Amino acid sequence: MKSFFDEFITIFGEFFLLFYNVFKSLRSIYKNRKIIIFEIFEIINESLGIFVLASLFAGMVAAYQTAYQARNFLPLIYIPTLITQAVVLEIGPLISGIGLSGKVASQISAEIASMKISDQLDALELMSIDPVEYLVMPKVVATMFIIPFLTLICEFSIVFGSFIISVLTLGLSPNEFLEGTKRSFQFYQLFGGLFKSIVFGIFITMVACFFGMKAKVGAKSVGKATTSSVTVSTISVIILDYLITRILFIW
Amino acid sequence: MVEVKNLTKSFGKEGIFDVNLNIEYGKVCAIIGKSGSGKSLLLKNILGIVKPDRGEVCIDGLNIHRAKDSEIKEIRKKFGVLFQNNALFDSMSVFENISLPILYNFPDYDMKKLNDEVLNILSLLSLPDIRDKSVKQLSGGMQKRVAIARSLITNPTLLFYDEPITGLDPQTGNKIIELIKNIHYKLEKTTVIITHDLRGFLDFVDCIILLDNGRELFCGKMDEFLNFENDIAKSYLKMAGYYGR
Repeated sequence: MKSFFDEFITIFGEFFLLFYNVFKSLRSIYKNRKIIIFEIFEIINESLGIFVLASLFAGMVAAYQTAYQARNFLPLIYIPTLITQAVVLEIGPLISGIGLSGKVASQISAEIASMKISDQLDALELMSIDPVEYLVMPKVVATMFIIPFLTLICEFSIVFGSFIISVLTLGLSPNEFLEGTKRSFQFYQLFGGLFKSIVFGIFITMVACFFGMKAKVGAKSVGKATTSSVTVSTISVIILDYLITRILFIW
Repeated sequence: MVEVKNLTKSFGKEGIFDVNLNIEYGKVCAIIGKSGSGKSLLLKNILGIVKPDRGEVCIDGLNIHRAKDSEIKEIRKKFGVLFQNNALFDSMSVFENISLPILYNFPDYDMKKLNDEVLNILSLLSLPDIRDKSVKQLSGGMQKRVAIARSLITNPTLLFYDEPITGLDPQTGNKIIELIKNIHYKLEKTTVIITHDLRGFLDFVDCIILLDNGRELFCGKMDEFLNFENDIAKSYLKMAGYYGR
């Protein structure tokens, strides 16, 4: 019987082996270009609507809460300043990361787990097609490519949501909102947030593929793989967020 | 030639234990046993998908579990496999499924030639013109045939059929049995059938391996099996309609 520690080390080792194999298979990006493009559209199709909706409401809530909490010591014009800063540095990448964990990672792990239990991964291997090169790498590259755009759309939607509330109910004029948004905004911060989102994207897709490929037999294992991938990737996004913030913005 | 020597792969009390077998080129071999007896596990070990705890699998003298990646690729070119649940990609058309191993590994392959090869195989399997249909639209029997077609496209020398008639109605099952025989006689492929149902295969099989709880109960020629004094063996023969000479 393996101890918890042994199990943990084994899983960790297997995960890094998958990571290495994905890295190794990057040389066949051109060969898999059609699959990568398909995956990009699949991710957009699956997640864009939900990302925009969630971000819009997150922006509305952020505007209300900031105005309410800071009503006694901060002029209203600083609300867009605070929100934009928070969005660019934290909320945007975090919402896109968590959204990706919930919507895309669950779909990827369910898809790969179903393929695993129906012998499709073995069939690929026997056809001399490396499942990592054919299935995992295109998904990782597609996510890496598309997540900065999704994050930008999220960030814009959050700011737009807070704009609606600020102008319609808090009494700020559109010009005041724009002025507040521009105040203290630094362009490099945007890149920091986008870098974060790329790391989240790679990690989430890897986790989803890893749990999918580890599925054993039966329909239950598909559910288990999906739950594990969503749980691990969501928690990992939050931990990675802390680590990257620490490295990029504080040290 | 496929040689399996003292093959053991266990998951606690389950698995396969000390299995030995030889499959000669051109012959038909059946691996039989009830569900959970280790037939599919034995197949995955032979194909090199699962690594054994002990023992070896040699294909033409080369141990598949010790071979280099490039050697494994070469060995696997000799294999054509029909998986129990077909393992077809339901997002693809029949043509895409059948031609996948060629299209992916040889992107510059002549498309006209490939198209002809696919159509030839489809006609050998007496499939009507379903080239562009999605596999989702096909019946179970047709999906089975498409999976067989995919296993034939690379012109393998060894064909493995994992439970080829399981889940099919008797009529369709009989058609698949006839098809397997037809492929063997026409294309002269070495054939390995993994099944729990010998119905239709008695007159076709040259050698037989009977597994029970992961252990080899019998391994030998069909004639010897017909005279093998064992209740389990007799029950398989009875089920297949053989009541002794």
